Amino acid sequence: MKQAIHFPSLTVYRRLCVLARLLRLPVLTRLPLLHVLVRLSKLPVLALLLLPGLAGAVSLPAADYPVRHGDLTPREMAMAKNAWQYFVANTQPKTGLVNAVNKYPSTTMWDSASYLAALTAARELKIIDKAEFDRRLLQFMGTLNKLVLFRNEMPNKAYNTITAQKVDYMNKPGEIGFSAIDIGRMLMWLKIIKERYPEYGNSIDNVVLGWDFTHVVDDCGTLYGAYVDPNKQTHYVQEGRLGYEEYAAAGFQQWGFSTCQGSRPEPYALADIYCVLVPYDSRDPRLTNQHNYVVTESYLLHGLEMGWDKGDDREDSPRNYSHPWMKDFADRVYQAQENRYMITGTLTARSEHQLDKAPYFVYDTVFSDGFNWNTITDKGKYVPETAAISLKAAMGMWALWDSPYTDRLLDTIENADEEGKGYYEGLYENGDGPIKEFTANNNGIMLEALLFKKEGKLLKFNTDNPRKPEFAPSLWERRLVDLFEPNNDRRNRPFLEVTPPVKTWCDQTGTAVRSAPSCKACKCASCKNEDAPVKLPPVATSCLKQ
Amino acid sequence: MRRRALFILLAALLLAIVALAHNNGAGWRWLVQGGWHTSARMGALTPEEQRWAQVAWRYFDNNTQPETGLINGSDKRPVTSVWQIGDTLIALTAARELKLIEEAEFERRLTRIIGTLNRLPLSGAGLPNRLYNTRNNTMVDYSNQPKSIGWSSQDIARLMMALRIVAVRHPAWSEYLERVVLRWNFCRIVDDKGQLYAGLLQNGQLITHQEGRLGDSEYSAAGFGLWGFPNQMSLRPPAQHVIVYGMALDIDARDPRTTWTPSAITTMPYALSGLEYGWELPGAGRETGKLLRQRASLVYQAQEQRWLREKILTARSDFNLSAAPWHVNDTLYANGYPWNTLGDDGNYYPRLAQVSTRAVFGLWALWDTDFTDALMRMTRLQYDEQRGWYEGRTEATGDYNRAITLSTNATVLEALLYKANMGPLLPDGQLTDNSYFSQRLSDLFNRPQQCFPVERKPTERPDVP
Repeated sequence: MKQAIHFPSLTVYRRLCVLARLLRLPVLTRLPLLHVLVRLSKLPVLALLLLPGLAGAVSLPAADYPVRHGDLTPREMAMAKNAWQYFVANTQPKTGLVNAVNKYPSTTMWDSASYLAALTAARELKIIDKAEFDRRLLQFMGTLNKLVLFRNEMPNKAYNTITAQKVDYMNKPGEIGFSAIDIGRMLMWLKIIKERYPEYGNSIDNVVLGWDFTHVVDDCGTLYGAYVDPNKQTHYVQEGRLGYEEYAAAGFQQWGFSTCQGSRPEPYALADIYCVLVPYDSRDPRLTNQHNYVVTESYLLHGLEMGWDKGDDREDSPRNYSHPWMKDFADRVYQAQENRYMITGTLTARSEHQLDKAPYFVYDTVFSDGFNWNTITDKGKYVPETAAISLKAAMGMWALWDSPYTDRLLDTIENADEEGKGYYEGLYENGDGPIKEFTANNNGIMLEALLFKKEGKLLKFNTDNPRKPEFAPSLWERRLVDLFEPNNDRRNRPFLEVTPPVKTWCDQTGTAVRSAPSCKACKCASCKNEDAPVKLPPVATSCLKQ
Repeated sequence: MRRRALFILLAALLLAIVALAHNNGAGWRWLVQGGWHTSARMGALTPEEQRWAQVAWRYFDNNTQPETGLINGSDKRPVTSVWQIGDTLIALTAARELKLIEEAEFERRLTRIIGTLNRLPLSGAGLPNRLYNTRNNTMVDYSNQPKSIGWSSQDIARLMMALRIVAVRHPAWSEYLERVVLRWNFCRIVDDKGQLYAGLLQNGQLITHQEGRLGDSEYSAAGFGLWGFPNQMSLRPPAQHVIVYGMALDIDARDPRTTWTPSAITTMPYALSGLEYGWELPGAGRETGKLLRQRASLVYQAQEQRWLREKILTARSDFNLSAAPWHVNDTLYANGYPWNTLGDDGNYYPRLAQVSTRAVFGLWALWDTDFTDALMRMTRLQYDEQRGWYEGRTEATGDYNRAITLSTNATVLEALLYKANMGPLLPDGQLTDNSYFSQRLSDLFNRPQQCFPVERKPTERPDVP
């Protein structure tokens, strides 16, 4: 038996409404929205007039929900084990790669990174032992090092998991381009593994040293993907929209790239979604062929892996979010979804997800292409009947916002799995039951969310701090500071900061130091003022509805 | 000493009375209609403004059809919509008031139009067709072929409002003006809750559907409210916010993806509500009135902000084009995107966005600011002296949109009349019990059975003044 739960955020709505009253906006007691709130809270309308403390009323309840932290309960452990089943069933013995979708032997860098997340979580949560972890990772890293790249630059968008060959969208041998977003997530996880398990540093550095960054990131830190047109010409186009763009940029940043433009929230606009002002990318999807979807996944991955901290923040304090706007934007995306549940009764945890029927893949969003709660295919067709609670989104929200609403989400998804296959992709919002499809990404993110509860921010820097005198540079660092390493410029590798220990190492080994040109603006004129404080837009409207 | 003070006081009072009564009581109107606290332009027309009015009237001179008294909807094309018949009546009233025509000419023109309106062939369900041929007063379709195609409640509402504008200013005519409306049957166009319906005749079948999204909806509701019809549903369509430059603008909440009807925010419904009613729409209570005023103000501010921040002169409204897609809805926000420009075919035409002449005149009359001065600076010569005002100036190129239409030229006259009138054209336009209309309907035993207000069930009004 579940009891009625109290939603603390209601209080804040009431305060917002009182604030609006004081500002002499239209009479509030007439508003249907308010009636809903009042009915939900089972409080007399009069209580509205007695609420004290308007100061701070205009901040979202989500901003005050703590993250979940502590050992996993038996129930949560059981969920972790269920999710791991996907990887048991879908690892290819010949390559060590994991199918991105159940039984379909194809994967991407993004989904492979989700596998790395699952593998880390499985080991840390003691679902597998070090021996199993090592066997899997050694084979995986070997395959990753041997992958044939797209035009000798970057990993192709897709690989066959049985043969490790690069493939096209039909999983036939061929090449189709690369995705900077997918590669950003892979870079993030390679860094996390390198920091957690330095014994793998060598093979990881070799992977990244093998990549050619010439076209994927430009001097201003904008990320580019590649695609091949029907005439076999390669085109490089800016890739990523607000949320994913910054998450991917954070992965590049971890390897020393300056991603100034990719990491900026601009250009964005705001949508009013159940009183919350939710930012969305304002680059026009009608002109650019990229949808500007707002979903939970991008923000929650930054929260789980980076703790909504800046890339160089080595602190591990869970209550301190040093990234200037990521936490705030994430709160808005969360709050819009909680509000939707409070106001319409529809449990909401939105993300892109697969389907078990045509059109097989949808962007199931909080906002996209001009509309709140848009659910669209990659071609932009509106398919509202495929909207679903995405399990990875629900689990991620549960880990990052400890609230009665996310308790309810967890209750909803807890047993939405199949023995030996892992968790379902989602639960249809219209009540049509589960989406009977299983993916590496969904199960991987669920596992990393559970690991986050146990350990906090997943990027755990090891003690080898480049600012400490005893610092020993890794293979990657040694190559990058070497002026005579010819591939540094050829492959557009970043300039690393030459800290005193690095300088000492160079002096001792007789390495000529490669350092960044002193004039930063010469490289990119628009990135002069990277550390300027970010002004956050207002978070809420006065929740007035007709 | 005291006597002298009294004398001075009396002299001042006398002076004030003379000042207020001067020029047909213009000063008095200025005082009571809020000239001292308004943002609008009020006062006699300057010689230049008088010239603007002459250019606009030139269009009507050129395009009058002698047989019917109707005016072509666009230059030289003998088709008019019912909306444009409304425009015609307003333009005629303005022309008389701005002294562009003599009383005799006004009388001749008005007589011919009213006669035509009282002989208007009606479409399905006893309502005016969407389009008429101006030469022979027959119902036509969009290609000017004789055909009955159904009605638009939006157009009919505008004509109903225009009839009241004429009647209020020329009460002697009101009987003949009211006869026009008494011919129509209102059973299918408005229900007891005040929802308006459009009618579509397809293969002899009459299909009705709800008409009017937020903006247009309230403006149409006002026209029906003037004649006492229920209009509450249409006055308060479901709304949601969109954020433009940090301002929360109201837009219709019905989903254009599933209803196939665009939700849009554009200038004209708000400007016309201001020019005609001062945003105090008939049937709307205080709350709704406040809301409408606030919405109009935001529609102004968002366009001003675009000029201030992005340096783009902006005055948006729907407009005509002399090539495909023929009619374009140029908006502040529509179907999910700010500054959207939609063709009637539903496609997106960013290159066609324009500074609309009639939006400029509407904004210029209602808001006396640097922004509207800047708009007018680039609009004031946008005409062909022999033919009338152009539709607008294209944002992307600075070219004129050389289409010339009745609606744009009528709006120029309407805005100028607003200024000279020193306030809304129809502040108290509702029919009184003393009218021919009311008398005709008060006969309990001989009602027309056309669903006039008295023939309906009384309905609840949630927002009473």
